[in-house]
Amino acid sequence: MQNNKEKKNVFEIENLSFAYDKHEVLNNLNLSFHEGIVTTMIGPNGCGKSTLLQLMTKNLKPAGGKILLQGEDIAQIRQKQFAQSVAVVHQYNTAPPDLTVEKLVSYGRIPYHKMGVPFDKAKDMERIEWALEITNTTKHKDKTVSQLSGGQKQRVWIAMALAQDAKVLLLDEPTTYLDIRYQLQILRLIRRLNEEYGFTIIMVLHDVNQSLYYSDEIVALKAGKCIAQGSPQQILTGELIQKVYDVTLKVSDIDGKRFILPV
Amino acid sequence: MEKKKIVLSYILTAGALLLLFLWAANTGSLKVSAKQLFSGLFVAYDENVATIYDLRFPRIFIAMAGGAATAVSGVLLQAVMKNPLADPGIIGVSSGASLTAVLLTAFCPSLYFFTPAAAFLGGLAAFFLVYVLSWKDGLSPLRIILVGVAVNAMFTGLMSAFNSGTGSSYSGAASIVNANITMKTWTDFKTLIGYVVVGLIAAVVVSGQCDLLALEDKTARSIGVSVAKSRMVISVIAVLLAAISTAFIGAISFLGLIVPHIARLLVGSSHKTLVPYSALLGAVVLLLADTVGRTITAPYEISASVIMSVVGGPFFILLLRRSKQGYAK
Repeated sequence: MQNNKEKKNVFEIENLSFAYDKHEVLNNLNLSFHEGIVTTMIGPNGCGKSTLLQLMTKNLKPAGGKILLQGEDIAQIRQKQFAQSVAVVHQYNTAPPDLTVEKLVSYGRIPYHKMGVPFDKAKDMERIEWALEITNTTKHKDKTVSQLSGGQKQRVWIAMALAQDAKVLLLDEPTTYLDIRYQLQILRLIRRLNEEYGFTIIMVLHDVNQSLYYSDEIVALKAGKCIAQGSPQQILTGELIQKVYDVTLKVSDIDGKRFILPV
Repeated sequence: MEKKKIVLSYILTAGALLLLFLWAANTGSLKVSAKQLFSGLFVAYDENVATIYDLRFPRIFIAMAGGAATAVSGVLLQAVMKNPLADPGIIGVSSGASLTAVLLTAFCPSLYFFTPAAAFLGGLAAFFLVYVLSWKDGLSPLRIILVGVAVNAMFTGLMSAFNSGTGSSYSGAASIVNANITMKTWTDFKTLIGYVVVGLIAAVVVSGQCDLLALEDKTARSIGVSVAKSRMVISVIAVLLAAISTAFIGAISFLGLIVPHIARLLVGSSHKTLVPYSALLGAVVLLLADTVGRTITAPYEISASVIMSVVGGPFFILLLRRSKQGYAK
């Protein structure tokens, strides 16, 4: 974990508003995400965290305000160039049944192709191999995506994002649908990507204990507003849980580690 | 897909096309052997072969080019709409193209040369209608088909109304209305093939993009694909291919549905192999339909589009029933 006090901003959200038809999701949101750390967004269903992630990845267009990536308005960045800086793992993914793992991971190199033609094949190969290896999917590379289990599939989608060679990785509920073993595998991988390879990670998680344990910073959202931001040990208290989720949970510190009993 | 299976599929289909070609060239009152045909074409003049060359060859080649174009149009539409049931005939692109082609032929016969362009505009209009009307928080596969059927019915109706209301007096339009490939000349083929070649090359060029559209839109965007732009370019190519073949041989339903489906089973869903293979198989299927139509009730003819509808209808129902699984999701 980094103790760097002078944190640089990777994303700055300025007066951001968004609505689905008449249903307002975000209203004048201001927020910064810091470089080089793992930030987790938590909040109840419908609080706008997934919407915010979609806005930050150019999948949705803001109704008002703007999002800056390292000081540049993302609306002005071309999709391809954006993909070289920011990679995303979405919550729900589909692939043609006969697509092989290696082929899928190789799609991560598309941002570097010109008119659909590879520009630097050696570099492409190197990144694909690295992505397969670090996600522990090299042994599956000739299988089709449809042959894999849920946890393996999720690792393959992460591998594709890693092949993009982007220093910022966004993940939307990467552990949903997975059993506890696969959840931990994914979270440890994410932690490792940050610590060993310097990725800036921004993710959405539902499990408060996991966000407590695997993040450097928590952003708590409710009804389209950021109600708390800071290190998990400082801000994840019973009071905040009450405020965010409207439930009273027992929060205890055991051996210097905090746990929230979600029952 | 295994490479071997892909290569074998290509070779066998090309072989089938050649045999079919010989059969089609020999269907009718004149008969020639393969050897006689070959020597008549390339070695010495042969009266029978010359007659076949002038009368049957254009029709055969037009059937092949039109079949290839329609099948590839189907592949592209399916990629754009993420819907294995999309077909230029079923969703009304072909009938939109027919209508404008017929109107042009009827009202401005002197602009005959622009029939393909008119068909293209009509096809685009129909496609745009279907796309816009079936958009509601994304494109649901079934809604596209339902809207498409309605748009198709409307354009087909307008065309029939026009045809009946004018006492079917515009014979130039008849071949488009009835979708038959009789009375075609080499001039027709030469005009058609130019557009078809351009369309097919464009289709091969965008085949990589088609693969990427098979991912979720969000995922495609995250690897730098401008999804809306890709969709638009691919749609325009698909409409061009369908419209151009409609302008010459009329609307053929189900061809753009059956061929890509079989092709996917044989060569897989990667568009770099799927697009060229569908072109080949499309040529085989339409030539087969046309030749069968010429044979079974000789000396009368059943048009290729009728054969395709009779065979394609049940096939479509079968696909519809199975579409809950796999690709359609």
